Amino acid sequence: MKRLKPLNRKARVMDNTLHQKMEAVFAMQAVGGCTTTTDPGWEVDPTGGVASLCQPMEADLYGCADPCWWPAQVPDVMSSYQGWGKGTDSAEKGWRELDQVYPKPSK
Amino acid sequence: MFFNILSTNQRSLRVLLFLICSWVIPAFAADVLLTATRPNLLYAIDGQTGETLNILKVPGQTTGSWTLLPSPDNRRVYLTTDNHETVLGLDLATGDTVFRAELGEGLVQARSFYGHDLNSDGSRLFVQVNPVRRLRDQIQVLDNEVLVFDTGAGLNAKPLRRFKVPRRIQGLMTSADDHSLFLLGRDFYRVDTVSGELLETLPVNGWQIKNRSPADMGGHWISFENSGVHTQALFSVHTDRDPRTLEAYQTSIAQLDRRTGKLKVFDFESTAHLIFATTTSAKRPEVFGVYNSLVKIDSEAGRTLQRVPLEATYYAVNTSLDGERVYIGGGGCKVAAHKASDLSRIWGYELPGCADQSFSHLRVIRGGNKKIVQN
Repeated sequence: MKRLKPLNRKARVMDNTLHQKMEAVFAMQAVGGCTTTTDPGWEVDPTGGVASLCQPMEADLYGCADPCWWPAQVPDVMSSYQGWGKGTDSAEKGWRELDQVYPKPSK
Repeated sequence: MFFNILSTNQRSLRVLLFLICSWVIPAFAADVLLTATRPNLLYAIDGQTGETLNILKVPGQTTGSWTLLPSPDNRRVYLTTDNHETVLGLDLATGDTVFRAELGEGLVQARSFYGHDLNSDGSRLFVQVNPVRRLRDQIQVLDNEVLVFDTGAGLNAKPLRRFKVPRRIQGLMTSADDHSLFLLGRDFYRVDTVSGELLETLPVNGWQIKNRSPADMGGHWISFENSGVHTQALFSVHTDRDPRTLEAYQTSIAQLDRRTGKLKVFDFESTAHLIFATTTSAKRPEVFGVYNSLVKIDSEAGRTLQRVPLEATYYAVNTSLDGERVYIGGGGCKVAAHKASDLSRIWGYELPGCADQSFSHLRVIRGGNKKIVQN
């Protein structure tokens, strides 16, 4: 490996990764925009109970999807699934119309 | 010269009239609430009755607007559109777009989720942005910045200047003298509005309190337009207390005064209830917080005065200009007004179609007209 030299940019990135020369990974804003929050999500509240979850949960649905707050629980409307919820402006009234999403197959 | 030729009585009369205009008219000026809903609507609501006064369509929007920033003369509101990549200024009376600025350029994509404020005469708009450079094989995360715009620049506004700011900034607040800009994030920072030079760091998350964890916070909703005080709920842990007891978990309030630049932090209750948004009363030493309940806090004694349960989650809270009412909104499709004195409900209003407000702020301005605008 010592005699191999990277020729293009992607190879240089890989080479830097191997030799731990990568730049520090910066999180995006901790809030809004695919947050790195570790707060409990929709399952339990910070106390391990459910009393402090949003009520009804539909009141929080777009509040979590629009800012990509919990992208593992609800689709990321900000970037990956911008059309999710289009035509359904009320989560409370139209939650049945909100479907699951699946990653698009790579071409 | 004109005053010199008036008699003493005439001068007294003018002073009296001035005082009447200054004090009495604002006292009777109606509150108008501003909130936004999916897909692209901005509502102006009568604070007295809960009736809809205006409905404006926000061009280019599909998921609702978040930061609503009224101009000091209450004629415009600034908000984001195009998935938070463009800032618009809308005329509140006509719905016309009178200001437009695209935040990115070329390969740089910039979004602004929150973090907007104006100087005191409304001539300069400060916008915090999170830019990335989108390349074919990677996305480079760039430094966060504040962009400064001339609000008279029209529909193709370009920043007059820009300066780098720390990451994790959720809100901006100009100082009352316009010399400083407060960056509201995990900690609060005061920077020079012209150079962007960091003048002061006011530790919040980074506070150093013995036997206390760093403070956690949300703090998306801005509501300092009437009180001049940014208000933030903080959550921390007493590390010297039994973590199995409620007493180990502390809720506190941070208040940053835009006139003095002073930061006040006080504890007031154990964290039995979450609070999403807080606001300081425009007239009284009281703070109000909202989430699944509405709470009134004595900011001088540092204690909870009253808490009432709510029928649903509300994200945002604000107070009337006279301090007599508390308004709640955001999250779902409801807006409501409560008496500040006993937190009893005055009116509740479900927005048309029960469209979600999501992260929209709830702002309170003075005046307004009864005309429904179809823009």
